[in-house]
Amino acid sequence: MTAASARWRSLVGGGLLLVRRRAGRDASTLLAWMMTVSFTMLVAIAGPAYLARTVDAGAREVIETAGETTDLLLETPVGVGSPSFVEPGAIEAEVITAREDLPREISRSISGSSVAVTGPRLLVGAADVAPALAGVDDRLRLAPLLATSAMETGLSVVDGAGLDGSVASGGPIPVLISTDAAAVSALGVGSVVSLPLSDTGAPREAGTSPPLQVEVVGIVEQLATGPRMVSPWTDAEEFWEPSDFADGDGSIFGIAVLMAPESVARLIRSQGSTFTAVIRYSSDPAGFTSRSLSDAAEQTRRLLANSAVLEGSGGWTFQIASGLPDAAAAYPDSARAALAQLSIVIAGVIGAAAAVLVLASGLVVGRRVRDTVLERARGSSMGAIVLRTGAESIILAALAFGIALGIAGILGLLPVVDVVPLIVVTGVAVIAGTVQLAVSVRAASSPSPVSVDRREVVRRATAKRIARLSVEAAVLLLAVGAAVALLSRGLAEQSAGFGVDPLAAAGPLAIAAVATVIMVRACVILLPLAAAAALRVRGVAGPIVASRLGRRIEVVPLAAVTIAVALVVGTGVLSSTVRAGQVDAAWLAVGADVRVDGGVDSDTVDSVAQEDGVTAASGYSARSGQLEVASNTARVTVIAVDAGYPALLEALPDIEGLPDADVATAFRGLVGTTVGPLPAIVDSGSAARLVEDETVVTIGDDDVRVRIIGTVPTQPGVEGSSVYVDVDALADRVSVSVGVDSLVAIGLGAGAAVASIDSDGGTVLTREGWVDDRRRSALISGVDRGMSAGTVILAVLALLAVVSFALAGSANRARTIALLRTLGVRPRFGVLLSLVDQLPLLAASLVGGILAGVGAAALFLPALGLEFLTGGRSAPPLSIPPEVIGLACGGILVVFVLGTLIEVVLRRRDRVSDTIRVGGAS
Amino acid sequence: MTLTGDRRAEYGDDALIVCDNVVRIYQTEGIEVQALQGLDLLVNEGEMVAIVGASGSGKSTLLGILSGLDVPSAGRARVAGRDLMQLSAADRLAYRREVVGFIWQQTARNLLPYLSVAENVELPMAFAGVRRRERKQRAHDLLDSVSMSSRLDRRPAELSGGEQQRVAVAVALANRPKVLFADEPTGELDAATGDEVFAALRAANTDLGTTVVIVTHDAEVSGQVQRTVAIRDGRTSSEVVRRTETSDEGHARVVAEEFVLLDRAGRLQLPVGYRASLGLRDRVRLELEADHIGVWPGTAAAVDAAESDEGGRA
Repeated sequence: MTAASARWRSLVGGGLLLVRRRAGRDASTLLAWMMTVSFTMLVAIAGPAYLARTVDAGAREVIETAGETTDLLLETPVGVGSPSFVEPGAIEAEVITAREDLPREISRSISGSSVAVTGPRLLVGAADVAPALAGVDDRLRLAPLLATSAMETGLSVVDGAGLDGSVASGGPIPVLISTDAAAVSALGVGSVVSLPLSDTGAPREAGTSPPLQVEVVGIVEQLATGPRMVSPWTDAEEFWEPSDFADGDGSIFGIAVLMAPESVARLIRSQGSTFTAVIRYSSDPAGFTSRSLSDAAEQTRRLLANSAVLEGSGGWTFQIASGLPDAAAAYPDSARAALAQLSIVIAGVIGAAAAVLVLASGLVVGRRVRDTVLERARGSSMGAIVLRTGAESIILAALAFGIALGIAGILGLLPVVDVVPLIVVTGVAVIAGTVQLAVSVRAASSPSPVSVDRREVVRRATAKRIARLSVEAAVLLLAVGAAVALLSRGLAEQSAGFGVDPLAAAGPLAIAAVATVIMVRACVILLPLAAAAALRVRGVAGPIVASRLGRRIEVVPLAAVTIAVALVVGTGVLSSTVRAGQVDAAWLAVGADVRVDGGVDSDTVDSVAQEDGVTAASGYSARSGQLEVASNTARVTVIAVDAGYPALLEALPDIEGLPDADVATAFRGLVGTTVGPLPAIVDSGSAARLVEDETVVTIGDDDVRVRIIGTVPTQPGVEGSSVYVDVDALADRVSVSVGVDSLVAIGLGAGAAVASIDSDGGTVLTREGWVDDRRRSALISGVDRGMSAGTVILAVLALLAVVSFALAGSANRARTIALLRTLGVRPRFGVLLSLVDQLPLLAASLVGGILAGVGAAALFLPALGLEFLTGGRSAPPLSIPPEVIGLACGGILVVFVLGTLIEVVLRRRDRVSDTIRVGGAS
Repeated sequence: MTLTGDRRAEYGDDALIVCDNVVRIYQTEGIEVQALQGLDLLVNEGEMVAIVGASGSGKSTLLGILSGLDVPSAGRARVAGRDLMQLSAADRLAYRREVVGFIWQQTARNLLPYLSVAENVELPMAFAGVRRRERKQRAHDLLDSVSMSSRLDRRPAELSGGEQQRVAVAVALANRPKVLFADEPTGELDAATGDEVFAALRAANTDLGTTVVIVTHDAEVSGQVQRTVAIRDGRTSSEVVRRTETSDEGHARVVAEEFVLLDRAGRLQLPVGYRASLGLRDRVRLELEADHIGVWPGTAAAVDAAESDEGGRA
């Protein structure tokens, strides 16, 4: 036999047998371990999946909210006989061709398309209609509209016939009108309209006769379409919405007439003008993800900047319009703020899960160390031990992965969005047990002897101390590095992707690790003191408690529970901060408890002010104007407020960004002037550009001289620059009627008071409604749910950590209590022993976790972009709710009780004699 | 000490096991315990030696070092030509596989509970890379030699303590070790069962030529070996050498002679009884005679005390 084959046999010899038999013996422990691994793998799959779904839902919400404004519109002239124009008969094919030229992300986001081809409006006198219109001065304004196949498909003819086969080369152009158009204009099937006039109403020029006529061949109505279909009428709504208005010369009936492409060509040739085609590519919200939204917005932005890339099949010129870039402009920051917060939760869960896996693996290892030491003593190499344990871990981890994958499939969490958390968890699951067993066996079978050389002893002790300090310093440096990087980077520079943010994720974990190190150090000092104090207690409890307290604290369970507590507290603090920030932001957005924009008058304001529960109410009127600043003018909103406005400002809460008492005093100066320049207050931005205290505000046709008596920050509910004046003083200085048409009110009863009034078309905005809308948004509600789920999972992991820790020490406790019982100690002393064993760990975890959670939240608050979630103008102030701290304390208590209960249940069959004989091993 | 040629012979040059001034210090919770304090021991190939001593005297520590499971803090330990202070990890593994076998006191600790008797015996051979067929054959032979071949497929929990220890002997002999170490192998057994186990150990020594070193408290066991070494306070203090003499009538009898060990520095430990008897303490007076050394109490008071003691006893 060769040396290599012998070496191979020695490496694998007996391995299969050992693994199989040992797994059979430890089946229940391994099953529990596997379930723990499965759970953590499922969490590692679900976390990123949930994060992706949340930000994707936010992207879809952007499209849904913006509606048709995000559609891509291509406008091109339609004509005949020129290579510059699309022929009327070719426009529908062009819709397909142009789409193929669109950038990929835009093309992928399109759910459907429509095209509307409209011609110049043609004004027709009553005499040109046969039979004639009812009034001799009545006129028709005809809008010619090309009938696309999609339009014709969605029509139902209620009178006459359709356009099929009705094309006439010489006679009147056959057209269809809607039932409403027929009702408005009194046209019917067979009505003929001569088109002697151009769209300006001027007489047709000579030489173009005979005059072109159109004949109504059918009256149609629209068939119902499915909700998801893109309506072909989106840009041809006037076909269904005829207008009827009057000017000084009589009534004008505006109707649209639908005609075949050949007829359009004939009309174009006759009129010598062109039609305009609007091709609409509709966005499908369901087709968007966070990434595709950003990509589509970016590609649309480029398309808007350079439309030459689209030229269709004939090198046409398209004018392109889309509101997608504007609609999506605010999304990336909001999405990154959301994913930063969810990243923290996910990282915390994965970190705690990793620590729990180490603990759970330790339980398995604890059952096997003695056997493996014997294997080692019988000649097994460390490589063979590692191979056997590693292979077993891989097989079990693969089974656990299969289970996790199956559950994830059932829950619809596949495919795996981000493999990194899964790799971390799987790596820990595979390695933790193997490494712990190898270390334990090595320590047990190859103890490092103490040298007789004192200098060597001192050198080894120093090296050990330096190694420990180096690890602690590395943890500290990691935390500092993560904090500095995150704070200096900010969300704007976050990686382009929308996955787990590694930096946001690592920061709080590193802080929790630092807290763990600090707590370990603190325990080194405090536990001996506690042990010394315990020694002074009379009876048997004192010395026993002292001896238990004198032991070194376990780092891994401490880290697991500290991370869990830190993340629960940290996410609780962030969640509370966001919610408080939303309330503050609502004040800034609404400016009061209730705001009614339009539809009210001063009497209504007075009646609201008189209602119970209304602290203050004020009326105002906002209109656009121009403010002379230096040698230019600036667009401003002129807000004319009534005399109640200062009192309303005084009733506002003390929130950063809201006006304070000094502002209210300044507003009192607006009232009561009827002559001279109009006293005005401007926002601080505009004030900075003014060179004199007196200037001019132009409102409509009136130039009003104003004197600036004060400046204010941008006021609540007001966008852009603003000028405040007294409504009565303004009314005295302009030619048009100015009066209160909007109101704001503060007080618990403000909402009810406003609900009781008739606002006549005004828009009512309540602060509570604003907050509710905000919290219902996909990103914010997603973050809230993610944090809640994260808290529950962290609590479960903390419980698993404590139970693992309790079980790891239960054999020792069982033996101790068995020995003590032979001395007359009661069985329930075991609970005290369990408490003493777990109390230092739980107390240190609680203190360290709370400090780390609050510290991380405070430290990283400016970098998380929470203002994008609150809707405020800046990061909200930190809010530390006592209930979160209480929740952490209560959670730890529950975890301890459950851990103790589980230990009691598992040890219920222990007998004192057996425990003493076999050492309490389970 | 002798000189051979121009080379000074090493201590225990021709011995299989050599412990030369071995020191082992443990440190637990910052407290140092010196388990071995300069122990010397020589065991020749083919010997069957018992090591006795009070609890905590360092017997098991010595066995741990000799079996390659522990490393001394200082001194020199050599077994079968291998310096146990200098072994690399690979050498140590080979040493455990090829040179030594051992048996612990706790019957349950010697065998893996989830393997059958035969599988337990085969396991060390599997670790050594022995082919399956050869493993099975040798396991059967070994178990036959300890009268356990009828229980090949039993699990350890299905065996009595004595049976488990006999299987443990077979396991320890699986890879044909040069030395077999046994730490209180009969400590958990009754006398009859202990005899069976001891018989198995003796068979290994006599039939297989394996050197056997047994740590024991059992006077029955220590009385049956050729040499019993006593350890006190981490040092070898005395040893009893037994030889069988046959009288003129043809009756065989075992003659045991107790020796005090003189270490390499010239130190020896006088038995407690001797010291108490003569009131020897603090200082003694030595007198070199032609064929022996006389040890006398160092002070007149001590002499008087010793004489009065003798008078009292009379």
